Amino acid sequence: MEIFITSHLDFVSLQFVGELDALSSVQADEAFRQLIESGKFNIHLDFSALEYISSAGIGVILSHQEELSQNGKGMVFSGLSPKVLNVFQLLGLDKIFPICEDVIQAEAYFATK
Amino acid sequence: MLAFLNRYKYYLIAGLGTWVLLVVHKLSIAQHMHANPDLILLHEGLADIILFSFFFANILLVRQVVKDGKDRSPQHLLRILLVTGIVGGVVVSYLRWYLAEYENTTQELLTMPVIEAIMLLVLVVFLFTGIYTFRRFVFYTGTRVNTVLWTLFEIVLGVGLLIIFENPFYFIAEWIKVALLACSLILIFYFSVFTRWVAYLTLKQKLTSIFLLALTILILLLLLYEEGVFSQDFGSLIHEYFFYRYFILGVAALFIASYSLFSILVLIFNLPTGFVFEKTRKDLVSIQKIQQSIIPGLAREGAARTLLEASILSSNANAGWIELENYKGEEDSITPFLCSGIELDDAVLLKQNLNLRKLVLDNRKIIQWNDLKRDYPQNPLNRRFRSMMVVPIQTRYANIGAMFLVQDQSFAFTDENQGVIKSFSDQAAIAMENITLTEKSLELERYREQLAIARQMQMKLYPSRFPDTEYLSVFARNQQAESVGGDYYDILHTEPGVFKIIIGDVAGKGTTAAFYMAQVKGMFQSLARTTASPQRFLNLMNQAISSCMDTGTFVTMTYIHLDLNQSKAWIARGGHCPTLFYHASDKKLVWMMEGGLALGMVRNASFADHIFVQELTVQAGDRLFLLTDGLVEARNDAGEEYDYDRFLSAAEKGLLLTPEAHANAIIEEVEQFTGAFIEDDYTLMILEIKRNSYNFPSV
Repeated sequence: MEIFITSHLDFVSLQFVGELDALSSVQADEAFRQLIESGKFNIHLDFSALEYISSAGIGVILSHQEELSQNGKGMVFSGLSPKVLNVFQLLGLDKIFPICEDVIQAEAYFATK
Repeated sequence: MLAFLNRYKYYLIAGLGTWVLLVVHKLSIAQHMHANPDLILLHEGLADIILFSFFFANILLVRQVVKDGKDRSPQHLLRILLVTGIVGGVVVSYLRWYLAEYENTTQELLTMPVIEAIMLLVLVVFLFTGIYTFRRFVFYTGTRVNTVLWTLFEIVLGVGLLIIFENPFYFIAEWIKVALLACSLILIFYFSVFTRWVAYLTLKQKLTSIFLLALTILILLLLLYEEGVFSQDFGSLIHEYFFYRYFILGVAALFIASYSLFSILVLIFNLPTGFVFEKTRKDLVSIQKIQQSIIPGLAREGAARTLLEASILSSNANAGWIELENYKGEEDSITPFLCSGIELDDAVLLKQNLNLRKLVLDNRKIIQWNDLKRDYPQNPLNRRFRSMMVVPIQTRYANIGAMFLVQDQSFAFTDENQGVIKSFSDQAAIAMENITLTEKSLELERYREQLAIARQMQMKLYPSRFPDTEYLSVFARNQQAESVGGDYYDILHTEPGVFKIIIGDVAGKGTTAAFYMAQVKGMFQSLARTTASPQRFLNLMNQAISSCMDTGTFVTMTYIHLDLNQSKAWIARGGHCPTLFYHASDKKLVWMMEGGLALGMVRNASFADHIFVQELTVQAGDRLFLLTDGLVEARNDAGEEYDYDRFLSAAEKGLLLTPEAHANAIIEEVEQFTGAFIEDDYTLMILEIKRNSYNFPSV
């Protein structure tokens, strides 16, 4: 899996390309850590190129959720494939995370909140 | 002994028989000589035949016995020969001494022939034991030529034996005898040169051999003396033993004397090389010792110690030490851990003075200093250690350590030392590597055992029996892909007609998930007994999980409160796979999609907002299918998932079966779909309501 990081005015976009499984979740965890260390707490997760997410991947996202939302505006998701969306819905994640269509909506979310 | 007699019985009978004949014949001649000297001539022909058969039978006997003898060391064979000679010598000497009492009496006339016969037997046995013993020496590293020549030698001896018959018939010309003798002498000389066995002796063995061979010559001389050889004049001696009836005795005696003398000379000349041979032999023994230290259970230190001791001995070093990388897991590797003849502090100091650390770690070849005093004038330890050799202990891939050898002389170590010690250290490296591998595999084995125990323990966490009554029948099937897993299911019968059912999956795999699963079981067992509403159950469960498990860990679960008294079921799904419900009255299968968050995701009071409880009315014949995602996410070779739709149609087929058969049928279908076993953890629990509304007996 590859993670592309793009900085915007008041948030950071993480684009995940490939599969976020137990192995690559370590890599994702490291990316989150670095962002938090550098004081970035508004994070947009671009899942448009994410093919699969495992429970370990979700675990990594969840483990940083509290710190992010306490210090900033937390996480926004976009571009979920039907499969990934299905996983989110099954776990109830769609009820606790804002899910938008694309980066523009994400920007709007961070601007309004 | 009996086996010996049995094996050679024909040879022995022939040998002894002919000897007895010889004795009887000699006695009869002695008597006739006393009575009528003219008769003696008549006996001549008979005497020759008897003597010939006596020689022939006894030589064959000795030849066979010695040739068949076990493979023994040269010293051992020499000792046997000597004992034979000594016993014979003692017997004959005693008889001679005894006879002296009856000089010039009739008694002498009768005893003399017996003693002569015994004398002859002793001579034949000793001489031919000697010949065939030396034959084995000659053939020590045998060649084909030797085999052929030896046969020729035996033929010459055989023909020589025929000279006995010369007397009455005069058919053996003088030149034939000369030729035979010449042939014998050449062959004797030729065989005497083959003393290769000497090369394989150690110094001590060489000295022993010289002694034994000298004794052999002495015994030979003694026997010849007793035979009266030295009292004869030279001419008749040569005639008797080289051109007449005792031809073979003469040749045999010459052979033994010649071979013994040659061997003694060769041994003496080889004494100095014995030291070299000795050293090589010791080196080989050392290598063997190091190899033998490849025994499981023997620590690496054992191999290292053997290596150090053998190397010091072989290179004649004064002292040495060994360093092993990561010894005792120390980060700062390479510190001396085994010293011999040198204090640990001195070893460290010497290395510091020579600034060796890096060099030794990287070098894969032997490094040698011939004069430390010249190279490092500042080093205070120069007086004690002037030569030094550093030998890497290396496996094929890396240096695992190094051995240091020091000597107080300059130029103390030779290239040969290097070669030998390199092979020592290679052997030791193999030994140590093997020991490490053995230790690792033992460790792995222990882990496996621990995992097997963990698995057994986890199995006990699952319910061992399910309700199977006329009201409710339950069956569950579960698989863990690894030794332990995170799937959990349980059922509690809390009050008459009321059942609490749970199925859950801790995110993650393996041991971590298994530990959390055990916690979930504890939570379920206590909360389900005290909590009536599924809403409250999930809420408390979430609190418990949030406070017990790391952030990022979450548990999906479905909790069912089944009350057969009221014909109701309340299903609360917390992020878990939906439950499949079979409604018997309208024969429809429905996924119960309604649900909320997995537990542990939201760790505050707001979790309560995300709990959804679905109420169902249940009737006889209704079924509930609780599962974990291992089943619906099982993939076939094409990468397709089994999915919820396929599961539903599989479930539809077995509705008339018992829950157990039904569960097995569904899993078989999934396995057919994947084409093999299901790789992931999975659980499938089927509940069948058999009769509703009923007054349950107390639990």
